[in-house]
Amino acid sequence: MADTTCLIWRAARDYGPLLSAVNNRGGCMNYIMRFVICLIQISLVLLPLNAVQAADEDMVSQVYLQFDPETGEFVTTRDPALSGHSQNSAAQDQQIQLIQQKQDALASGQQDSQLSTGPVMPGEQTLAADGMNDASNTPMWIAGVLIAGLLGGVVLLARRKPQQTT
Amino acid sequence: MISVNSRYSWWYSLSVLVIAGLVSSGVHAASSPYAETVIVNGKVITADSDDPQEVTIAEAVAIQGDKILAVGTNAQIRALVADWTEVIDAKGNTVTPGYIDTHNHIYETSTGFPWVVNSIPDLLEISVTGKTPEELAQIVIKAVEARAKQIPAGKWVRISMGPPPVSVPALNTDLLNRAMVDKVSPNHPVLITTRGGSILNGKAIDAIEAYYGNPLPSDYWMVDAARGWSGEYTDFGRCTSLDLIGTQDQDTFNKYIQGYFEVMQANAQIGVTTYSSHIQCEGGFSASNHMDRNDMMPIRMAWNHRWLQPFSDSIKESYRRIGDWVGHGSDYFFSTGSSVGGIDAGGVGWCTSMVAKSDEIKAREQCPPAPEGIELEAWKGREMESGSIAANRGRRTEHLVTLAQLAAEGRMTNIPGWHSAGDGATEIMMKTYLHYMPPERIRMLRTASDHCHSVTPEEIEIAARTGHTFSCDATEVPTQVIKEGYGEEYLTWNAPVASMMKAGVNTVISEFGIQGELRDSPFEDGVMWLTRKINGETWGVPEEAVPDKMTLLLMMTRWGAYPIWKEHALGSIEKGKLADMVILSGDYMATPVEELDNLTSVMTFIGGKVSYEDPALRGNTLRFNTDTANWTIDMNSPTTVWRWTEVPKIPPFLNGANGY
Repeated sequence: MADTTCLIWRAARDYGPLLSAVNNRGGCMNYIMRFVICLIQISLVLLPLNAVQAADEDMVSQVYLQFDPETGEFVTTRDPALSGHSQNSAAQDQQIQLIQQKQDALASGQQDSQLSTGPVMPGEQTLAADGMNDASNTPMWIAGVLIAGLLGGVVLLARRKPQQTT
Repeated sequence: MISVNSRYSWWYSLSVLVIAGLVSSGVHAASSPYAETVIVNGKVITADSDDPQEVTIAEAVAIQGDKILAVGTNAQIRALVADWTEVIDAKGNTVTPGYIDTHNHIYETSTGFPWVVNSIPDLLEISVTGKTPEELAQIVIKAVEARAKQIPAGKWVRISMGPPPVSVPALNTDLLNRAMVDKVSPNHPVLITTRGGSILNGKAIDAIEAYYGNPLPSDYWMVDAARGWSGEYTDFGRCTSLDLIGTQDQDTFNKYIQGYFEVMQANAQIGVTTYSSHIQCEGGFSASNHMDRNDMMPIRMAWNHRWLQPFSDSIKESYRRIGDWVGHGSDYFFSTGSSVGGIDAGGVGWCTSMVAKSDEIKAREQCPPAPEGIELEAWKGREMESGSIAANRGRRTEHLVTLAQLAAEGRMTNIPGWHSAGDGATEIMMKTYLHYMPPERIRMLRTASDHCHSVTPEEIEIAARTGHTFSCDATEVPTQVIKEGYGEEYLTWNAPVASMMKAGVNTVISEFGIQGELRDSPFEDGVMWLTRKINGETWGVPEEAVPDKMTLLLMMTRWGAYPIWKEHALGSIEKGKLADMVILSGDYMATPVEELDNLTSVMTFIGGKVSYEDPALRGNTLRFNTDTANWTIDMNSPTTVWRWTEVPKIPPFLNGANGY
């Protein structure tokens, strides 16, 4: 518990009027006093008001895992504080169900590849974020065409060469 | 031989003819008086004047290449139609310039949307709450232990704990520390965060130090690394997402880039065509740059490089060597200069000169130490922190002073927008600039600040004198903080945009795009600004409402181009400017203020290309569905101006400059 001799306390002891007064009463600051005053000082600095949550420098995530200490399980949850775009929350819940499926699979040791990729509405095309492997095939396809073209060119040149030399 | 020479001669002649034909057709296209695309039958709000009363309303626009060729009446623009010109009938709807969101961290917040998390499950944070600090600490350790058993060794466990009144004391009183976390998670990096503080275990510290190449600075720790308690939280939270998790392997990084791309596309779909942000972590820069060099930035980004600051113990040295980056880049991804960060925090963690209702409330403010030799009103009578908290906040002062000195020395031409929630933070910023430079020099820098939750009359006067831009976001939080902690007499300081504009200050609005949550309209915040109400409650004072709809539109367009140094290219519909435009779903000026958020984009043009189309005008659909993460690409009417004609897939990152 030596950590409780915090820097705040040391600074406050030297400069803070409250603690200076305590010290001046005979330097009787014992361990408990240190602990309590250290706690108060730091809490005054960092502790926010209950009713007010700062937004500016917060991380923002629409979805997270809620830990249930009773069961030890993690449940995928949508941030209930979100208000915008509320009419589409049901559709977004499908995404959250997919995340939970992956979490359940993780817990039971399944592989991602065994899971569905997502709902596809009529007229919509495949899930882009999960489709990166398709893009990686493209260079192979282009390379194939180029090689075929080159081979064809070589064959044509070989056939034309005797005509040019006559 | 004669036969061969004749053959060559024939090929030579043909080649000359082909090349001449190509050159002449190119010259023809470049100098053609005809448009490639025209929009007719619109109510075109051109935003061509700073005076809302003088803004021209036209009927039609002509586009050639990525720029606006002409603006005028239907007859004038129809005269520019050739047989190859694509004619788009706006059907009487309003056409506006593309919207410029001057402060919005899309590159970072994109990692929080469900479909992005679904593609990268490692981004999931765990939320833990408790009723007492003791109970919370126990649950957190339990959660870390359970998660560490569930996921492979080396994967991140990230816990967001709250509520802050319970979680902050849990950190302060050593109820949670590095040793406790190491005990239950020796093989997983663990980050536990709450407002204004974090705990890192040994593996997390190792991972961060290895990634960034230096020990975490001593002024990051509230005691020392052995305890693992840091005063920083945004650096750790954001940079573990974007850098350590986001770049853990190429597949993950590619998925992050794709998700970021899609969130930018979602912004385009409500009409946001440009956003401005610092980049705090390098993964955000690499992803943006990768998309840009492959010509795949869905919207434009004005950026500044903050990532030199987090995890560095040499802020001053880094910034004195970086040089001037203002304007560097492409039309889609361009620098606004040397980066800035946050002077204060938000909500009760702001820095203000307001007299608080109690010493306790005043002590919660987060003011960095004043630079030497500068007297500040908000610092008078203030009990300043000492020790490690002061050292931690002193990083902000060092950063501010370094940038001001560099600007004064003539080594940089711009200082972008600082995060400045309270008037104390604005005061330290403005008076540091004034300490080092005369107002005329500051005016040349186009200084700006993000948020304007409390601004004093004196600061409005300084802003008018120095050409400062206030970038304001609509939120009721400061009103609550002022009412609860300071007194209603200060509500006139809360986002006083009407007073700013009357004084001649460049005033813009921000965070109206899709950042933290999805939106259906670019005017959701606009209604709050015009009515000065959020959920039926007044925020600030009614007198500080944005006076009219045309002014609101100028704040979202023309005036936003100035702080990002693009007023010559963006922000209005004028000949020669980039063709960034929005066709709205109705008549903007005829729509009642309260119903303005029913309007949204039905067609968004960026650089003359359509990046989003709703079937309303021609039955075409070009759209990314943020609920299902699928694209609808349905071309019923032929068009050659779509930006994406098939599902856009970003080339893998390691392809580098694939498009070059």
